[in-house]
Amino acid sequence: MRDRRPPVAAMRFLRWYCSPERFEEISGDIEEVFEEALQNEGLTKARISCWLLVAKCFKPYAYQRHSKKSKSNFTVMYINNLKVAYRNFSKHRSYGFINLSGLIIGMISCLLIASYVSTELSFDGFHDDVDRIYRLRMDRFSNKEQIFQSAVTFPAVGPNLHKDQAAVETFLRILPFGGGVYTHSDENGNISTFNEDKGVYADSNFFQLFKFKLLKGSPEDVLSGPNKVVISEGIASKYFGEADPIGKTLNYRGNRDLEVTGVMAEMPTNSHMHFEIIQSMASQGELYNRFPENWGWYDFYTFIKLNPETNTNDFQESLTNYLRNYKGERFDESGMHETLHLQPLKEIHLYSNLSWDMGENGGAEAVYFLMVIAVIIMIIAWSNFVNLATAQATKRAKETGVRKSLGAKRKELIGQFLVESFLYNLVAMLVSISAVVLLLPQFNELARLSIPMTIFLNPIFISGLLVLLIIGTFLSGLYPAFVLTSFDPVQVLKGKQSRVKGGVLRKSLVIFQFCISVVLIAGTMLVVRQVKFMKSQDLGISIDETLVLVSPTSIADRQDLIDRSAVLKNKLNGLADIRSVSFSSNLPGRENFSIGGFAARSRPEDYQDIYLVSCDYQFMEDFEIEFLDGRGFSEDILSDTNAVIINEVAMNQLQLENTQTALQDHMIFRNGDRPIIGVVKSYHQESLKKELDPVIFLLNAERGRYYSLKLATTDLPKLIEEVEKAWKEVFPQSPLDYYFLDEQFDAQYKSDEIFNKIFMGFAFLAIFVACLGLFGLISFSAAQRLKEIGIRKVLGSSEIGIMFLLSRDYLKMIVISMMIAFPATWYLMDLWLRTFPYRTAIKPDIFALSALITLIIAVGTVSIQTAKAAAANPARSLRNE
Amino acid sequence: MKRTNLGEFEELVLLTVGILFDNAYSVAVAKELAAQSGRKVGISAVHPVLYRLEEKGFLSSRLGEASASRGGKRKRLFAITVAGKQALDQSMALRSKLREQIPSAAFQNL
Repeated sequence: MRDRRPPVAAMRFLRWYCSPERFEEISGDIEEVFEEALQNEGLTKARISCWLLVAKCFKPYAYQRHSKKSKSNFTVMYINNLKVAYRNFSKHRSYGFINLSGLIIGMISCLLIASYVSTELSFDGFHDDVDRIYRLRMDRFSNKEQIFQSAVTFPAVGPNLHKDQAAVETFLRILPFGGGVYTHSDENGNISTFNEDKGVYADSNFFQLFKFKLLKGSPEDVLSGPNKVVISEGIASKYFGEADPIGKTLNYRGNRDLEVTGVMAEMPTNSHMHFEIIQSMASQGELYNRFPENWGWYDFYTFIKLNPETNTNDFQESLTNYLRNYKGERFDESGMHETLHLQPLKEIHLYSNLSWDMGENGGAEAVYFLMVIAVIIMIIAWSNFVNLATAQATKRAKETGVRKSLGAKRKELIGQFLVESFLYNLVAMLVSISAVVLLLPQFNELARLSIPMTIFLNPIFISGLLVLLIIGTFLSGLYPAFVLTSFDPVQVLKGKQSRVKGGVLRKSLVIFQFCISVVLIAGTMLVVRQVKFMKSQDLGISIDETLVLVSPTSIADRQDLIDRSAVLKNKLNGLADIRSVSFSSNLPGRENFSIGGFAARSRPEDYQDIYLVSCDYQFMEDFEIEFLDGRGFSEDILSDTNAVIINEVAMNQLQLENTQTALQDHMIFRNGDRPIIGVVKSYHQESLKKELDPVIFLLNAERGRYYSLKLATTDLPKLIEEVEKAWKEVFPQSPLDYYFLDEQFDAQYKSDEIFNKIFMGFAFLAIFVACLGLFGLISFSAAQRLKEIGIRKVLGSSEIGIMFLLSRDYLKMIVISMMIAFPATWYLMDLWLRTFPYRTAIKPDIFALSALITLIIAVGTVSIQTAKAAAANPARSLRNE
Repeated sequence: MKRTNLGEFEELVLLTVGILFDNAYSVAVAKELAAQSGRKVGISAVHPVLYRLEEKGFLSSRLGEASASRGGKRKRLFAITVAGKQALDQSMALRSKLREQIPSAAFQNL
């Protein structure tokens, strides 16, 4: 019997759309028709026709609400408000468009920046219990003075902390040295071999602590046991093609076979880790077994997960001096000590600015800076709205007068203007959302970002939009609403123009807008100059025309590698286009991971952290490193194999008085003291954003990680071909990995340059929006003074005179804004420059130039409008009336 | 101002309501109209017209009895008002007045 009822869903749909007072009769009718159809045509047909009928009844008579309440004055008035807003927009279309385009540009920049910011904030947030995962960072002090803050620590820290502290649920170490040549040879003898640089070692719980997706293999055991490796999808297809890589073998650096136990998805872009190959930590072999006692080797990123109940402040307290329990004696001996600190996983990407960090981190300032710019652009756009709305007040005074005399309350009138500003903001927001969706790929490319489209579906993002809309409505609508509704209706309707209020505010907003513009222009110029300054600065080392080959890592036999390197060196030296070849363990443009504590013989207690670079006989000469005193390594003096050269910074840190005392001193090494034979001027190992480092140079003539070729040619393709040929003869198993030193070095400024571009782009937008507002204001005041201009012209005033008359006020405002902007700019610039150890000077021409640019833009904007007004035929403006 | 003249379909519905007299509700009107005119008339076509005629004041309505075949729901019964009758009469009078004025010669060549 139940089945013979009309379809439930159809009736539910009817109930949904139908107004309650009509529902009973209409549903009754439909049921009656259904009953009849049921008798005549059967169930299925009856059901179908019932559905059709419900659909057909979906008409106004059914869904319109008929209660008397719904057509209250209130709603009617608001509908009328919409109408009036639309009419007002079409009547003053140019102001409307200026308002809208300003808001749209502002919102586009706001949305782009917001999408960037929310991507940045989302970093590493996808791991489970992310709030409980911390990285341990380490500070080292020498005699209470901090030497460095490091992202890495000792391998013993993790296991011992886990043992000693109940709060530590689990620990995980990552060792970043899994790069090098990986080789796979298949059954048919085909060999695929590549140099990989995104390889690491990790403890077996890597995939349990972090939620990186494993496509093959189980998170619990992919990394348990020695010589296991998990590779990314990309690596898998590179080496194994379509075949299933599980169980296959990858050879690492020619000396170890690794079993592929898992395949992971590419790590998401919003993770600060970007590994492609993860070897099991146990692959470190004998060393691995002694990790829990190893308190010396600090190259391990150590993550811990704390119990939910842990009080992090208390835990941090116990952590700070934790190392003293194990290294107390060593601390007292060397005068150095280290402290451990918690660093929340989620904060690594934005706030971490440590030595030996994983990738580029610490962009928080740039993020906050862009947020400020977004807010500023929005405020400029809203100021335009306020300015234009109040400037138009007299025009709309009659409207409010009539409304008031018909009994509108002030509250309702304010509501009306708020509705108007809401509409403007809403339309601007809709347009800018669609624009941003279109622009996002380009923005990603320009800023080298990878913001996903899905960001727009993020609930936080959407609620942010709503907040922006509401704030915008009130910020831009409230003040004009008060001004516009303040008129006395009697005065207005009598035709007496009451003075427009809001003049002071309008002026100060214009001044504010131009202040910001000047600051932004000057700021852009300074940032560009600083980067240029850093790039042009003498590095103390010649990195031009240098081709660098990376030593192969596939040869396990040390002696074999040395022999082959010598052969390669000979071959390369034989090429006409190569002036010279030198070996070294490190080169500028790379972070030096080789560091140790050293003391001079004269002050044996005073250990200093000093970087080590080993190089061959040619290195100093090839790179034109300047000697302050002493000499370089010489092939003729056999004892030089045991000698060292130090740089100026090292000399000062070791508190050697001058180069003479340094040359008589020795450095203490574990296997004996080594004489200092030379002191060189310090050169920049990394970008000029970093200070100069202390360095000890050791001699290693036989090999080095990098082979630097000084070039004597500009025909690079030919040269590289020749080099490749020589390489293939010597290292047939290894792919050639080369780069140009100066390019690599300049790449360190890439992020600054990108930031500059973004900064300039938004600065330009801010100025553009400000000019839009100015344009609107001037055209408005010109329109208001049309008659005055006409009379003046008739009385013989010149066009230039009229232009000046119209622009005088605005020029005054611009000059005032500059006077405010200059000290502010100077202060901000100084603040920013202080973050760089090497900084360009703030020269007055920056102010002059930015003032000039602002003036040209502003005067340009003003004169377009004033010229038009001044050129108008006075007969036209005076004829009517 | 509301339109007070009658459309063609409105007129037919109004007439049908009159025919059905005491049992004029949408389903019955639709059936009667379909039977008399041979057109396909559904209740979704009749509904809006009935409500519109009521709004114009040509019809009055009340809720009738509930019956089992309607799932226990009441029907809305319509009746012609004085204004409705006047409108019908006017319309009929106008038509016949106009019809009478057509000279018979106009039909000769048909």
